[in-house]
Amino acid sequence: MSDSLAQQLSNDLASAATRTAPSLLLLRGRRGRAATGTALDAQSFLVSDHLLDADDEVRARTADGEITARVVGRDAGTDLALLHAEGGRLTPVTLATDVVRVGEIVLAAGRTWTGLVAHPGFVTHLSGPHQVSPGFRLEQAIHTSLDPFSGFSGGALVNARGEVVGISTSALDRGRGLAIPARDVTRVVDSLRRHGRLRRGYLGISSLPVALPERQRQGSGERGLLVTSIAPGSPADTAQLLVGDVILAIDDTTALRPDDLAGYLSADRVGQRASLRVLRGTNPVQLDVTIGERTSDVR
Amino acid sequence: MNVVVVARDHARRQALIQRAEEAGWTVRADVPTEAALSPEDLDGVAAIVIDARDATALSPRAHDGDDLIEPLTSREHDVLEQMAAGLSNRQIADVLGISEHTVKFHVSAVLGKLGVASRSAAIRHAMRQGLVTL
Repeated sequence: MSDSLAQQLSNDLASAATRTAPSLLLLRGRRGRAATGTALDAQSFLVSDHLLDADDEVRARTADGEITARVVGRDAGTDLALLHAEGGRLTPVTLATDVVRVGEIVLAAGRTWTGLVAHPGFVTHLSGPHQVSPGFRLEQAIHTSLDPFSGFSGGALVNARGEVVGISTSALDRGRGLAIPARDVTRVVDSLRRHGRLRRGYLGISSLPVALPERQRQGSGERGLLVTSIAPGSPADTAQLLVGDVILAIDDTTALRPDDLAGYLSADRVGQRASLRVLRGTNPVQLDVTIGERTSDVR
Repeated sequence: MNVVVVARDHARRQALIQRAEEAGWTVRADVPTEAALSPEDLDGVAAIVIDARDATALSPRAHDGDDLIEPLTSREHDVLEQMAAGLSNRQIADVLGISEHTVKFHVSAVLGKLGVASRSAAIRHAMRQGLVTL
């Protein structure tokens, strides 16, 4: 007798959960909460940044024992942290190559103190792009019918084939759950691996959006960004930008809101030359600037 | 009296509906569970019953913050800058030369003042409002 469709679906979902299980780790997260880790390769795994308490070394439980791992890099803007287990023999997940579609049945899989958990749901909508931090634009966010549960964040959103379409987090949408798609995750991981953080471009200014009166407009629309502070020695300082200048555009990006500037200053701009179109009083000024990198003196 | 019951959790919604009906109210069952009510949903509705757990999510302060209630102190601003750079509390403590405990204190003050619930929301809000150096 052949299985009913319902039985086939049930089998597929159960297989998807079983397939993902060996790649999921368990950590003691902030305030003793269960934090799921998702293995990307034999030695590295992802955890939700907001659950990660320690900064250096953590102990994690795998399917067959305990390992010690160190934090490679973390980023609160995307709520992702990358950890490395020296000599680890983790089972990596399979990342989905297809783009996830609205309506797909998915499983949010994670680990808690009692073991594997997997909640089924539907992809209800896709949103984005989202400027989640200065210099990093999340191309897409996957929203599902699922509410976060213990072990949700840092866990994998899996399709019916058992491939990972995204990493779950409850920290980016006011407590509601969403998943960061595999493609965006890969971009974050690449940067964390290479730089220990999400790299971002830097001008060294604070700014406020302003509306320009008619006689000050230079055929470029009615809005701009008023420069309110310039960090000493920053790229903006070197380019001789002044407090009070109104930035109209940087290269071809019209600067209407600080967000536009934050979007422009992506990692790939670091070290690039750019042209600032500025209004100084009523005079249009063009300034050349070399985009720097936002760094902190982290030891 | 026509009422609408709002609760994201199905079981809690059912319980609230039951209690409302016991109280003699007529519950409109044809409106969505989520908080996103359209004006049509509220046609002829006298009251909205909201699950206490969802109520915080509906308050303006829990939204990604439209206005700054109280200005940040310069130390809080320093901490916010480092948060936006993706630093953890301990890293911020190292950079600013203060204790991790003090950093935690500043971080919660920043979240409170910006009216956001998480670090990531604080970063997004600060970026939009031009509070961080770009």
